[in-house]
Amino acid sequence: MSTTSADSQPGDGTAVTSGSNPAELWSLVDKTAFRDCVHCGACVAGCPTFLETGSESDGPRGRIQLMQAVVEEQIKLDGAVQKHLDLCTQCRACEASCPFDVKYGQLFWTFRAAADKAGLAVRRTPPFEQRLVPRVFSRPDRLRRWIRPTRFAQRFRLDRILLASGLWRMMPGRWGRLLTLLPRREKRSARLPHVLPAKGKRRARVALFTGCMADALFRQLHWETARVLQENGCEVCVLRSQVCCGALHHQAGHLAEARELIEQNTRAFAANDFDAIVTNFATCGGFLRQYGSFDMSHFGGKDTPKDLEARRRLSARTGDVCEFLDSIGIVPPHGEIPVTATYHDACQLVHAQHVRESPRRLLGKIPGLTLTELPESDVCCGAHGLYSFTQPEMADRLGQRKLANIERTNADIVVTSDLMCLLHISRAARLQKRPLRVVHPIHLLDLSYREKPFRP
Amino acid sequence: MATAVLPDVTERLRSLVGIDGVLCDPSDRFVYGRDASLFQRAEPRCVVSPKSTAEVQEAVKLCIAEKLPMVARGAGTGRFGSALSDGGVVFSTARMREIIEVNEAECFALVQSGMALDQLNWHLKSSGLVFAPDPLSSASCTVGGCIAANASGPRSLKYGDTRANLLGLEMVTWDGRLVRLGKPAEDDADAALMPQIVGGEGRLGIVTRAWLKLVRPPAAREMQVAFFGSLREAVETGRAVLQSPVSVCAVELLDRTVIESLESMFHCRFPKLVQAMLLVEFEGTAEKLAEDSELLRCLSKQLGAREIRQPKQAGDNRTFWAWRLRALPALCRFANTCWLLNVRVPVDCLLAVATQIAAIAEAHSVPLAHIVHVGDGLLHPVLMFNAAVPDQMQRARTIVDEIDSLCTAVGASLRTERWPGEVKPAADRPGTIAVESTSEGPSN
Ligand SMILES: Cc1cc2nc3c(=O)[nH]c(=O)nc-3n(C[C@H](O)[C@H](O)[C@H](O)COP(=O)(O)OP(=O)(O)OC[C@H]3O[C@@H](n4cnc5c(N)ncnc54)[C@H](O)[C@@H]3O)c2cc1C
Repeated sequence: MSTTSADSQPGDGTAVTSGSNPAELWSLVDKTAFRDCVHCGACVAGCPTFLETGSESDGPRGRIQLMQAVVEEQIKLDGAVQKHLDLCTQCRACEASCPFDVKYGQLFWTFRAAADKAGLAVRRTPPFEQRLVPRVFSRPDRLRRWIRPTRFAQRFRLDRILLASGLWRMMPGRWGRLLTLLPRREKRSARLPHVLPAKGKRRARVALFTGCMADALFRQLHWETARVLQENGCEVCVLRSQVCCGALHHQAGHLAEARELIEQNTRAFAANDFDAIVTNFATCGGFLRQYGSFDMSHFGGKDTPKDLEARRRLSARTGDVCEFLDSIGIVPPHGEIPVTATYHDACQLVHAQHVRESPRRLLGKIPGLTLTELPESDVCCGAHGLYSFTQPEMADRLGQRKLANIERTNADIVVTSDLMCLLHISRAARLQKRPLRVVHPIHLLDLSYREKPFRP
Repeated sequence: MATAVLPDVTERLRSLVGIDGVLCDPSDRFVYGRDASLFQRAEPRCVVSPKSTAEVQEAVKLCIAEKLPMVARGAGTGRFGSALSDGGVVFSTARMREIIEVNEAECFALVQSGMALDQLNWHLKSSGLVFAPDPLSSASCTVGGCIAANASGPRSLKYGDTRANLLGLEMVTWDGRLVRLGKPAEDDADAALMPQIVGGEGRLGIVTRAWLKLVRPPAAREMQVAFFGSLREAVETGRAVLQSPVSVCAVELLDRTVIESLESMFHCRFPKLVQAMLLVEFEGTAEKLAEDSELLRCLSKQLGAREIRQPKQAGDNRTFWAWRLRALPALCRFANTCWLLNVRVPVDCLLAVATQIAAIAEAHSVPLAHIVHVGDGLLHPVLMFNAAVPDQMQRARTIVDEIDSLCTAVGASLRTERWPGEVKPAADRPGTIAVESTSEGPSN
């Protein structure tokens, strides 16, 4: 054994020490939440990044210990610690599996906000997150314009050439990723009207949340959702004053913008004349459901009890379309769809909203459809929000892991309830040159109600 | 930095197990310096995560050559700090999670030791077979960790502990040998090692693969919960149930402190002023279940049950189990530190020991709760205090010492983690295989 002392510790060089008073610095962080964690390790085996790297520092218990140690000044918030924290996909599987109800998400976000505020974060926000998210993503019209070049490429089949040849990797910045991620252009469809009447006797009146990216890329699905709801006796209203939910802004750390969106939506949905706010994409639903737990002072704003109450009410009334339909009981669909499908649990649905069985139950009602269980169905596919842009390598590894599990099922198609998962899993398959259709459960239900054939 | 591993060793380890397979950042050494124990803290030199038996063996040999002490680690859910090492190399099995073979006809599975129990059983679901040991940490804990701890759980009453469900194993000993015991090789030379390995806390080496016995449990299971006005009645009912023809698979007891904590956390609508709650799980065919359920009800009534709950609708069984699973989390809401001890007692003196332990805690005015596996005579006294307050910590230590003496006196055995600061010395010197005779299977 040689005797030179080791000074080659990765991360040491980039350490930033907190000069100021730590008590004040970390005042945002709820320290009792650290104490709630007894380090039992129940969360470890369900964490996607732990499953991939096998390092406990990339698991929830490790991350909590690291955050706590930083707050208590036992270790420095250096590059290595930051890397472990940044690698978290925010899937919240750990929260769902925690017997002690530790609020990991809350801890993580308040920690990050505090570190950002103190200038401690060594992570540089990539320009993609910094500029494009607030300017583009929140506005469907802008997003449509912004992705025009990739649409152009699709029209002339340039995308296929780039993909087949692997040349997309040479494209500047994140354009290559974006190009490979975008779904095929769907047929142009009109905006949804203000109100879509219920079919037959009215059983409920619901507000459909349309979102930003969802409306720009998957408007067809909004139509399908509305039709299925109508079919089941729901009057659907589409409020014009609603805006993007703010999930991506929150994720990217643009808290002021997120706050504005949260406030606008809270105002938009304050009305009392509908029974539920229905979401069809899990990311939006998951975030809307969190509104009630936010403290606007963390977002740089102020909170009155009245505002908080309004947000709580919004969260309480929000539900995923499958969960909602399942709860009111659906009219049995009659059109046959003879495929074997497997269901991938979107994190933002299964962990953030605890919806696991209802989509499966609805799919089970479609004649001809066989549902097979997907191994690790509730392990994150790496898609969440902007994760695939900020952590492309881990996102791809998780995508491949998901694909490998899908392959074990012999299913013809994959069904999932979130648009990010939809895009991400399709992309993973496309890059592997495997034909794989990934669809939303509502798409299948709508086809079945309308007795249209399904083309895998 | 004194404990930093020398770069060339890390590099050589990396050349054996891959770049991602060796962790030695300060943050990693911090995280791997803890497990599920309350007070144990350490700082290993580095962590090695091999992917195969061959990699394990190579890395072990290198550590022997470098005279680096070694310790094995599964999911780190152990409560004794025995997966920690100060200054040594931690061998993590986190990247050894493959199912190599499932033989449905002969009812066994061959898996790598880093496989988590729940994950294994998920994969077995379609076959109707299960690997039976059910420690409450089954979501994460690994096959290797269960072997090293001889883990058991509520249903071990019927299906036995890990030892009873293990057919054979493959391990790399800390002196660098690859040995196979039991099922695969019937290697007599090393067969004598088996009892020392199961429950041996990884002292001999690192288990790399295991042949596990699989069982096919009956399709239906049901639970019944009875509430009693005294601990005595509850324990006696538990023992009576064990001797009855009911095909029980678990008999668990929660005392008043637990009941009250659960009630205030989850509003379970328990009857008022009860001292103990007995949860009995049984299984079999539908007719047998109905029969057993009736028998159990009569038995509990006869022995003084104040109230009996039976499942009325789908999901009730799950609610009943949740009470048991949430016992410790509920207690944790009411104390900064919940120190859970393992006391193994002959079933006959369960009540006496439990009562005396409660008296000891009372004498030092520290609240104490009892969670009991009546089935296999395993008592978990939980001390509730605040370890950050020196006086309280001191009292807790005194109580544990007194419980220890009590156990020695009545032929019970106490297992808990070492005192704060007394971390397990980095594993046995490489090159020695002599093992201190291990205490009886630790479990929990
Ligand atoms: C909330 C909670 C509930 C629990 N419930 C139970 C219970 O009901 N019943 C019960 O028996 N236990 C229980 N435990 C204790 C613990 O989960 C078990 O002892 C478990 O078997 C440890 O597995 P692990 O993979 O986490 O091992 P670790 O904690 O990582 O290690 C435990 C020991 O095993 C050794 N080890 C790990 N892997 C290997 C290997 N491959 N080869 C050789 N040695 C190895 C380690 O060196 C260490 O000595 C519980 C713990 C917690 C936190």
